[in-house]
Amino acid sequence: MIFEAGRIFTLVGWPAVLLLAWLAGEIAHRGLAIPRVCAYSLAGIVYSAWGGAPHDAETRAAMSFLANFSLALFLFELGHRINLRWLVTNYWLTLTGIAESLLTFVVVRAIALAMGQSPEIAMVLGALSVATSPAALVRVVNDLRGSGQVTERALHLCAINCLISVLLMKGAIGYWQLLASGSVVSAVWNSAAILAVSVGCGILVGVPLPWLLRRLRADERGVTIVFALAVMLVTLLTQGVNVSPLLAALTLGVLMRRKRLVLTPAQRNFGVLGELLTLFLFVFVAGMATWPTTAAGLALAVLLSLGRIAAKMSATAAFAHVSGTSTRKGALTGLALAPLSTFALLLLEYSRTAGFGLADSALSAIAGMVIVMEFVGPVFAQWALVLAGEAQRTEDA
Amino acid sequence: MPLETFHASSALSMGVELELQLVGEHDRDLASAAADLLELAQRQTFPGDIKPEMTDSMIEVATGIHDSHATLLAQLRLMRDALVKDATRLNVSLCGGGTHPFQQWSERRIFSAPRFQQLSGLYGYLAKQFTVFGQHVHIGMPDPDSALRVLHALGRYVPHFIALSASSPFSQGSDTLFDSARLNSVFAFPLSGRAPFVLEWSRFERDYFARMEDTGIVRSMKDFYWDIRPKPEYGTIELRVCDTPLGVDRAAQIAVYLQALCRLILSGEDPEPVEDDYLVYTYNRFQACRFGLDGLIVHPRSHAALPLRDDIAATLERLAPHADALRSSDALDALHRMVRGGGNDATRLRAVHARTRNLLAVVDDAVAAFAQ
Repeated sequence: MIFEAGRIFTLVGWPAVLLLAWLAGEIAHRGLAIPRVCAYSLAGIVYSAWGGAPHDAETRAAMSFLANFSLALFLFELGHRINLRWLVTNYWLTLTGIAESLLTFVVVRAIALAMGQSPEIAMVLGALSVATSPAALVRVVNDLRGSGQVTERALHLCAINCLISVLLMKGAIGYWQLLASGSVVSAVWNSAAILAVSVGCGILVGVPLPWLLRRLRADERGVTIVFALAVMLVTLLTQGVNVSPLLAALTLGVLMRRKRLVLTPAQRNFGVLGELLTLFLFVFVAGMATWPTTAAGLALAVLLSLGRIAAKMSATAAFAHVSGTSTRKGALTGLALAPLSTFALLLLEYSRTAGFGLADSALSAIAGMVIVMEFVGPVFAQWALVLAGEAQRTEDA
Repeated sequence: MPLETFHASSALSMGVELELQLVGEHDRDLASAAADLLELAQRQTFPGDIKPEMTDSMIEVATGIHDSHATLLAQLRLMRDALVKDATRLNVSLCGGGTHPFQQWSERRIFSAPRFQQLSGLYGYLAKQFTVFGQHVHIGMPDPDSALRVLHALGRYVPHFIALSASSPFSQGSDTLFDSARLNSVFAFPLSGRAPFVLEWSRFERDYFARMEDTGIVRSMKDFYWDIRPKPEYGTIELRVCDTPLGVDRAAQIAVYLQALCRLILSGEDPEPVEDDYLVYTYNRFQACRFGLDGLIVHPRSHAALPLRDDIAATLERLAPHADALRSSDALDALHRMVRGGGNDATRLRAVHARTRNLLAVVDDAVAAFAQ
């Protein structure tokens, strides 16, 4: 009975926290010119520190599904903005993405090693640092109605670095499995199979969808609802076979775009439903992070964050001119890639459920970096867009 | 600042300015890419002139001075190819068309340059609504008096140019039922419309411009948004009623149509202009905007109603010897085929919409037409 009461308290607490988080987000956005998502994360951290995060496995699994679905919506939205042809015609941009990802991996891993972390944890930290949070970036871009080279490039590079991050992470897991089992075949198979099945799930749902939408002659709201349900289907499907829902949603988005089915400007963020899920996603995910308990932990977090941003900015600035933009905008693109966290944390959570024993210890090491970037990342992304003159707000303000 | 001296230019030389749309690859809405495209275009020698326009999803390109259709078209194509190449590197597309079919004007951003910011301050939302795209054609005039005479004699042909170039049937997400909805945005400006009926440059300068300048409303010819205006520093008259056509070939055809008409007027084949010609001016202009080639205009002298299509076809026939002399017969033949056969660009865009029920597909079609 006591357990039941506690559970009810936890569940009832959620809508209240979400409402407070939303209010805080509006104050941050309108009053302080800080991205809304920063306030959402803060609410999540406070709630979690207060003991609000669900403890029982059942609730946790349900919420984890919601978070995955919500993030998958962002990846879908990101995917549908990705122009694969651009990545081929302007191959310097693709190379920028690869260079930026690898440099981030190398720099973060080196800093972690220098700060006395074990090679395995350093590798996981490096792999996770590569990814830019699609949720935070897409949300900041939509909030500012960003349009321009920094926006376009950051979104494309984000897709590339998420993909590379997943591969590096799988590589790290594969490496660990190799050490544990001694089977190279198992390690490679694991990474390749997960990638192929994830993309396959996206294609499976994505191929009949355009046909259905055209048959229905769906209006813009109809298209949005069908998209959201398709993303939910993909999330369930991939979770069912234990592969990455995020890659599948990204694939689905890219496919829809190629078929010229897009979300209209009014339906960005998947409308009000999307807003609600975003709120939940950021509060929930931030609740998974914890503050570094020691000064050394905080120092590590700050150093890793600085190294990560420096790596991203220098790579994007170095390739800016050859890829057709100014060095300044190149550097700002790197700055816009600062958001971390949601993607990395869910990836880590996923790895843990997939039986990756290292992740638990990596989680505490990465927690500091995540928490620093949780707040700083979206702010940096916002600065990048404002400094590039690509934010609608700069003129309205 | 007094009115600039009218610099005589090589008679019947031509120059074309095109305002182009910059649209995003992913949602086909207008994209803020002017500054980036300018930066990239200026890295190499751009085969023409390129500059920003009022809002940052527009770009204006201009040719040099040409005497023949062939060289004009060649430069337009070179500029287009250079632009398309640069735009591809930036993940944006370029297209013609007088309006963007579904952009929301309130989303537009004024280009960050003092002149545009100042105009935006003066005109308020009109400035953002002025995210419309036109073709301007300059024709060189031997002397200022001829310039004014030709300018007023051309008044009767203004509906031709509107109907031939019309490519803005959609605005803010709806079919406007106009072939050229763009011109409705231009009318809103206080100094739009037609030039005052004065046929001598000295009188224009003394009795009109100096007095207008004295009121403090205008400082230079740039402040007048007339359908046709003299441009003394170039020694030209500038026709400003055309929508930017979907392709540069049509833009060149329209330019040489104007060139041939000016030759006809200068040779004295048309009656001298009189102020009463303007009685039917705004009505005929409306007919051309609303119905395009299917408009029904009133002849300024005979007051007979006649289909615009027939009037253009008859004019093209009268222009044949002039076109021969100017080596532009092929271009005028193409216009003739358009008038007699299919429709203008507005007709084409409406057909795409009727087939697909999708305004994104309309922009796709415009992008494809520009790159061809």
